[in-house]
Amino acid sequence: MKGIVFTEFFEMVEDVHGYQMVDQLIMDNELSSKGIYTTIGTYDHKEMVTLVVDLSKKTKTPVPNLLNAFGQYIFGTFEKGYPMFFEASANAFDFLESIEAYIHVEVKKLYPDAQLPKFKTTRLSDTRLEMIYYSDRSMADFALGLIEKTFEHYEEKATITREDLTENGSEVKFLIQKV
Amino acid sequence: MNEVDILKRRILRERMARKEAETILEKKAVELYQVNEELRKLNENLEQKVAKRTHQLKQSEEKYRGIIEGMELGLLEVDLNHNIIRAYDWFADMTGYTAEELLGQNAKEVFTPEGEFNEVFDKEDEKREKGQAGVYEVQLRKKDGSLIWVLISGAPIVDATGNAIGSLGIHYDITERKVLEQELAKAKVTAEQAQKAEQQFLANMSHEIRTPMNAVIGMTHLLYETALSETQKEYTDALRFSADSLMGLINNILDLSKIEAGELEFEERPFNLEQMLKGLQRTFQFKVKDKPVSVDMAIDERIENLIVGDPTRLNQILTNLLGNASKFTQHGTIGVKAFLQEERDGNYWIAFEVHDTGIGIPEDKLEIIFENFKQADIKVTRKYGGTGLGLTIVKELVEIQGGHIHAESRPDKGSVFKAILPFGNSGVKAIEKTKTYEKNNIYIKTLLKEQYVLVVEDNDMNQKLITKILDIWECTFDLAVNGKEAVDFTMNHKYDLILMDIHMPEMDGVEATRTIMNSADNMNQYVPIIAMTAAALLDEKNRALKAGMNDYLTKPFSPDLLLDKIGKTMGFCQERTEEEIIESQRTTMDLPTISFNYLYEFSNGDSLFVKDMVETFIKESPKAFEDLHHAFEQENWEIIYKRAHSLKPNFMMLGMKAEQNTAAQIEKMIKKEDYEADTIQNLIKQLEMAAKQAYPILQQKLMEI
Repeated sequence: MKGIVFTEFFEMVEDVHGYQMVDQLIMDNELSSKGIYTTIGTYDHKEMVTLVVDLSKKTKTPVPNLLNAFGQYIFGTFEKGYPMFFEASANAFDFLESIEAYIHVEVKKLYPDAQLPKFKTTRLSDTRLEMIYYSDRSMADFALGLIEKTFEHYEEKATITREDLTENGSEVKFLIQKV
Repeated sequence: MNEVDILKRRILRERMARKEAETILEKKAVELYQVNEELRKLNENLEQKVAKRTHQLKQSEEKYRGIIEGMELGLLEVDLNHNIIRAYDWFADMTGYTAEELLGQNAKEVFTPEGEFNEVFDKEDEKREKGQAGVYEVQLRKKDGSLIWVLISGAPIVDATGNAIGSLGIHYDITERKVLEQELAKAKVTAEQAQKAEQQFLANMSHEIRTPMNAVIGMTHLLYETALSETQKEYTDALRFSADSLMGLINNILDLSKIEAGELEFEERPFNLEQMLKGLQRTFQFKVKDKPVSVDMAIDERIENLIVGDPTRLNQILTNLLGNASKFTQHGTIGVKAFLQEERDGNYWIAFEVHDTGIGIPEDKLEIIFENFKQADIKVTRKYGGTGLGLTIVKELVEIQGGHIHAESRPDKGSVFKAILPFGNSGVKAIEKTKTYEKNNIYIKTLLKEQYVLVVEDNDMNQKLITKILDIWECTFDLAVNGKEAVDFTMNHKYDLILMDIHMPEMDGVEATRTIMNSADNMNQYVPIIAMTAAALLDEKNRALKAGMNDYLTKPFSPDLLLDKIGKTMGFCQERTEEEIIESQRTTMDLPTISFNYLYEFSNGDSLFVKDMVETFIKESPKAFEDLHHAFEQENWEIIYKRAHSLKPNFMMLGMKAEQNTAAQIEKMIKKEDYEADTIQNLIKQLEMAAKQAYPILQQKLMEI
C-alpha cells in the first residue's frame, strides 16, 4: 500500500485526536515499519488494517465509519494534489467512469507497484450509474467516502445505495442515483 | 515528560522518514537517469536507422530511375498543371532539350503546342485524380520541330497524405514502331488487293474452264445415248475419264484456294449417314467393277439418328479416301467403317475408317502424304497418276470441322485412314425422314409441268443440257440467250420461274435481274430467279444473292439438284438432303447403273445363262411398256400392277436397283388403291426411259460376254 495512504491516515488521526493518538497507535502495535512512512514508499497493507482496527477500538468508532471518514478526508488531498484529473471531467459520473479508464492507468505509470482496486461502471440512464468495486482489501467504505466527496466537488447531489456482492466485501455494488 | 517523549519519538520518526524518502528519491533519480540514457540511445539508434533507410530508399529510387533511364525510357515529373518538376537525362535527349531548359516549363505547351492530344491528356488527368495509372500513345514535338511518337506510362505522384500532387511519366520512343505499323498496314492492303485479284482470277479461270468442260462432259453423256461402235465407245470412255479427271483437278485446286482464303462454307443440316455410305458403295462398286475388289460399308448401330453436319464435305472426304483406296487396290477389299467414337455434349464423334488391301504406304512416307503436291513415291505418280492434292484437301476439310485424321499402313498389305469428326445429333430417327422426301420429289415434278419457265443461258452446250432436262420434266419454257433478251421476254410473258446464267454478253445475269426487279411495269417483277454460273467462288454467290436472286446453282449441276432448288424456291418442298439427291439422280437423266454380278452369282458364272437373260429382257421389256401405256390409257390398274410386278425382278437381276424400286412403288400404290394418275404415269415413263437407256449398254455388255 502506498505510503501516502498511511501519512494521510496519520494526518487525519492527528487532526481529530492529536499526535498523541498517532503515537499511541504506533506504540501499541507491532509494525514492521515502526510507524515510519513516507508518501512515496510502499508498505504492507496489513499495517493499515492493524492501525484502523486499533483506532476503532481506541475511539469506539466502527471500522466502516472510520474508513468512510478517511475516504472523505483523503479526497481533499487528491483534489489539491491532482487537480488535472478533476478538470478532465465535466461532471461526477464522467469522473467516476474515468477512474478505471484513465486515473488508475496514469497512477500505474507513476507507481508500477501500486495495487489498485478495480471499478466497473455502467451508465443505466442519464441519472443512474452502477459502479462495482473489486478489491481483496475490502475497503469499499473508503471508496464510498471518496465517491460522496466527488459529488460535493462537482456540486451535484446523489443518493448512493450499497449492496455487498460477496460476504468479505471484496465485491460491492454502488447504485448511484443523481437527484 | 510523556509529551516530550512523544515529541522526541515524532521527531525521530520524521527524520527516519525523511532519510527513507531521500534514499527512495536517490534511487528513483538514478533509475530516472538510466531510463533517460536508454531513451537517448534508443532515439539515436532510431535516427540512425531512419537516416540509413532514407538513404537506402533514395539509392533504390535512383537505382530504378537509373535502370529506367538505362532502358532508354525517358522519365518526366510534372505537377498537376503539367509544369515540369524534373526532367531526366534520357527524356531530355529524347526531346532534344537539356534537363535545365525543361525545368519549370509547361510540358503540354512545349511538346504539344497545337493541343492535338488534349483529349488524351484530359482523360489521363481524370484517371490520375483517382490515383490510377495509365498507358497511352501521343506524338511529341522535339526542340528541332520534328515529331516523335512516344508510349507514355503515367502514374500519379502522391504526398504523405495520399493526395495527388503531380505525375511521373515514363516515355518510350515508338516512332520506329509506328512507321513500321503504317508500312505493315500499307503492305496488308496491298496483300489483300493481291489476294482479291487472285481470287478474281481464280473465279474467272474457273468460269472459263468450267464452261467448256461442262460442255465436254455433257456432250459425252449425250454421245453415250447415240449408237456407238465399240471403238467410238472406247474413245468416248477415255474422253469422259479425262474430262472427269480434269474437272476433279480443277475442283481440287479451287477447293484448296477456298480453304486457304478461309472461305470454305460448311453447312449444318441433318442427313442420313447410312444412305450416304450406301451411295458411296454403289459408286465404288461401279468403279472397281473390272477388278476383283469388293466394297464393304459398315455403320455402327448406335448411330440411329440423322446426324447434323455438312454431307457434301463428308462425301468429298470419303470419296477422296475411297478414290485412293480403289486406285491403289488391285484385289481384295476396300470400304468404310463408321463407328461412334464418343458421344459428348449431345454431339456424335464419328470415326471413319477407310481401309483397303492395296499397295500400302512405307512408314517413313506416312507423314508427308498429307502435304501439298506430295505423294509417297514419284514412281506412284507415274503409275497411278493424281495430283497429290486430294489428301491435303481431306486433311484440311477434316481439321476445319474440328476433327483429325491419321493413316496407318503396311506396304503390300493395305492402308487404313482414320478420320474422326464431330456431328450434331438431330434426334430424328434416320428412317422416318427419307420417306417424306421421296414423296416430295414426285410431287415437285408433277407441279413443275404446270409452270412456265424462262431459261437465260448464252452457252450452246449448256442450253442443250438444261432444255433437255426441262423437256424430260415436260415443263414449258422459253430460252433467252442473254440478259437483254431475257428482259425483253419478261415484258411480254408472265413466268413462274427464271433460271439465269450470270456471265453473259450484252447484259449479264445480275444486271438483268436488277432490271426486271426494278421496273414496276414488268409483270415479272417478283418472279423467283435462280442463278446458274460456273464460278464457284463465294463472291459470285454473294453477288447473285445481293442482286435479289432467290438461290444459286453451280454448274455443272445434276438434274436432281436443279429440281431440288426449284422445289425449294417455288415452295414446293423442303430442301432435300444430299444423299437423297444422289439416290434419285439416276432415275432422271443419268445413265442407269447396271451390274451382272447377281446373274453371275445366281448362275455360278454361267455366261450363257447371263446372255440369255439379258437378251430376253431386251426383247420382252418393250412389250411390257407398251402394255403399261395401253393399260394406263384405259385406267386398267390390274394390268399395270401385273406388268410392274413382272418387270421388278428383271431390274433386280440387272442390278438396276433404282428401277426395281420404281416398279415396286407402282405396285404398292395400286395395291393401296392410290390411283394417282399423274404420279403413276410419271413413274412408268421413268422406268421406260431407264430401260431405253439401258438397252445400248446391255448390248455392249453382251458383246463383251
